[in-house]
Amino acid sequence: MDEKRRILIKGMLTGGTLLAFGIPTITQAASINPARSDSARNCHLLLGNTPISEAFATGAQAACAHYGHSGQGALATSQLGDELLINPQHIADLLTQSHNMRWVAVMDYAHAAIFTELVRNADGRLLALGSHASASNADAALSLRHRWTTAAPAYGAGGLLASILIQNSRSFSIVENFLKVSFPETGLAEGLLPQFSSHSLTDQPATHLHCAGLPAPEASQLVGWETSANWVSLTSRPATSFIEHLPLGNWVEATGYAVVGAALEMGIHPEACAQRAFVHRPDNRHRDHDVLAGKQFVSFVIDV
Amino acid sequence: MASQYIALPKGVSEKNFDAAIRDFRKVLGETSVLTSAEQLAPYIKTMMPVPDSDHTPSAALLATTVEQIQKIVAICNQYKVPIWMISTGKNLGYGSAAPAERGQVVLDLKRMNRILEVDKDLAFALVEPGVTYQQLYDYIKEHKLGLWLSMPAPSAIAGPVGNTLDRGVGYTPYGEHFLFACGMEVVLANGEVLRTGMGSMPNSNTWQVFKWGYGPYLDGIFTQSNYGIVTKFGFWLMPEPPAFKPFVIQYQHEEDIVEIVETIRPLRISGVIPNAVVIAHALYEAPVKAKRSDYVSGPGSIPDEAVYRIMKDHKLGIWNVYAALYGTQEQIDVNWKIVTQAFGQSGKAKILTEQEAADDPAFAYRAKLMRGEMTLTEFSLYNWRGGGGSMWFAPVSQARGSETLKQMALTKQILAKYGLDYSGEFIVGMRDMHHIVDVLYDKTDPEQTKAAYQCFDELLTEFSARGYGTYRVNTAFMDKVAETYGPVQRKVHKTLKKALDPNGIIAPGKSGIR
Repeated sequence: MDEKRRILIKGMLTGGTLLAFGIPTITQAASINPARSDSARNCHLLLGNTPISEAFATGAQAACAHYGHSGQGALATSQLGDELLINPQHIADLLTQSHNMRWVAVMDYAHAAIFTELVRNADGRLLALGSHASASNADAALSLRHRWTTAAPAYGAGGLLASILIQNSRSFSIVENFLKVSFPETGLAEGLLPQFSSHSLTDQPATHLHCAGLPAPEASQLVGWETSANWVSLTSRPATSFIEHLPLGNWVEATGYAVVGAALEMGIHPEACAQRAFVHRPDNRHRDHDVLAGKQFVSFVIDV
Repeated sequence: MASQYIALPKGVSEKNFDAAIRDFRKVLGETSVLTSAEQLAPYIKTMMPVPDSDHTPSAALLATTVEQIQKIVAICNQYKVPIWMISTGKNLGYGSAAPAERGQVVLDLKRMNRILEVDKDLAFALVEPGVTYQQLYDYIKEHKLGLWLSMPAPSAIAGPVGNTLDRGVGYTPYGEHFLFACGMEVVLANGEVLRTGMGSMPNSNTWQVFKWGYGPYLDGIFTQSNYGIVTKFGFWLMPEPPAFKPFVIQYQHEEDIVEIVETIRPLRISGVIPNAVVIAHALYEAPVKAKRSDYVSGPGSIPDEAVYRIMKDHKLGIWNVYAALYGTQEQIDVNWKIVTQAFGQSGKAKILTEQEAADDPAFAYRAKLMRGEMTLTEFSLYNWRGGGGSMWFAPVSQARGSETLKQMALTKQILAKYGLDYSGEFIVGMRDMHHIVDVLYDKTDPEQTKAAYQCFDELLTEFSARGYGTYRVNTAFMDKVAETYGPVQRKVHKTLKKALDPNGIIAPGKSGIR
């Protein structure tokens, strides 16, 4: 890992917070990451016509304010209507005419199916593709589910999102599959989240599982992984940095924050692994009425 | 030590694959050989209930000429590297652009996108595999050729070559696409270039007008197969009719499918209704107008009571028959009388013309597809459940009412066992029906993903046990479907494969053929 980035992320978290969705940030990380690519410096937001877009944008802009380079200001934003279903050419042109740009996009599943195709047509590079859902049923095993396919651990948003969501009393799972596999050289991991107990598979050390409030076999089952697997503990270096907090309103904002944090290449809480999951089940389940119950969407981070 | 590739072809060492990649780059140039995770990620996403890692490619090649493809197959033969061809790669719900097996190299033909010929008088086109329907549509409009296309639901972003080679369908009178294919150019695994039919004869000008040529007809073996790489494709286009009259007929009870099919069959066979009629269930049309979550939450399939509420709220029939008449106004007037009399007999049908259904978004997109215009509205289906899971279950039925009712009831029963909804339609050929069901599930939910896999497996098992064959399937279930057609057919397929591609480099696993 890049040494400068290592300094930025090292020991990002200490304990929990009383603030719902408090955002852990590192003072150093708010400055420009010198390793950041040109496209990350030219990051734009594309908002689909979904009920969650506004909340996602709120979180995304908060992340930009924290992590964006000096003078970047707010993320430039484009609004997407229903044109992808009616005339996708407009978006195809937008992609093919973009140069050296990073798009963070959010949309529903119908639009996402088409958008993925347009990205490939435009020779786009897909850094991360996330599916995000809140259970509509109060009795669901987990109330929030996030699943990412990510090009490499450096673009992983799961660690940052887990660190935000665990401060709330809702259960969640976050699964990340990294296409470019990294294998841990030792059993020691960088700055693991202290609220989670961390494990790896004995026969597949590049599979990491971080659990809070439930044992590893049960967490493994909840994310659809093999249940009979043998998990061994991962040890980590202690986290030392202090935390600032920025309240975010809900899990969609938190997701927007994490996706943009990763898109800006802050490299927060990366791990050398092929896949990892965070699973949290609090003792006292959150049963409040949630206006975002049943909401689901897809997020993209692409370079064109 | 970690590999520099995100996957490797089965049985190929990294050292050999390195050498193959170097050779591919000599042929195509550095930028047309994709190996990074970021570049390959757009090829990986599938909607099937299996890990995407099962279908991760090792590389993608962006070829632009036949000569390049000849060199690519030579390299593949040398290093025993398998390739998986895509034209535009829009086989959504059937595997998308991802290869059948992990590690196969995607040969992406999207940059081979020349429209080689469109003949206004003989009404045919000759195109390369990367040509999209939108591109061809624009060309025809720009040159005022007065021809119509027939396209599947992914319309604008898909293309005629990939769709026809997978034996896809559209909704105009030319809706059974392979019936209207005429002449192919195919790069064989040994690098030779075959032109089928009349195309084999030097100086022939009848390649796109006479299908059969001389001797055994070969075009069929290059559809749903892995015997060659189609690089040029001819097909017939429909002359724009002077008049067009789309309509929808609604029925209120599921068992009315019997009456619908018995009424339509003679009209289709006699040509009164010339197009590929769609009989769509309410739940196939509902996503255009409604959200599932507004009617039901929690596990389980949607109850009939909720379906009836959706029908009432959104002016849908439980069956919605979309059809159209084409021709001169006089022809249409005569045929309209025949259609209304036939459907009016029982008093169950509610017939709506274009004027009467003008504000209905479901009718609007169906009417567009029936006149060969672009719309992707059908993809609203993916918002019904959400979660990105979709598999097309596509058994074939006789065009006989009792058979369609049996198929619908069996499908619905099996889906319900696994908590899934019946989002189905019948596309009416003259004597057959393509029964198309979108098995929608939430791929972010491990339990539902597992249920979807088991459900699909059971659908295939139960249907084949009753003699109902599947005409097309996603890449995760190709072997299973191939098995249902019996050992003799499989052996013949395999014999052909051995003869044409002894090293098995072209799309191993396609339609269960290796």
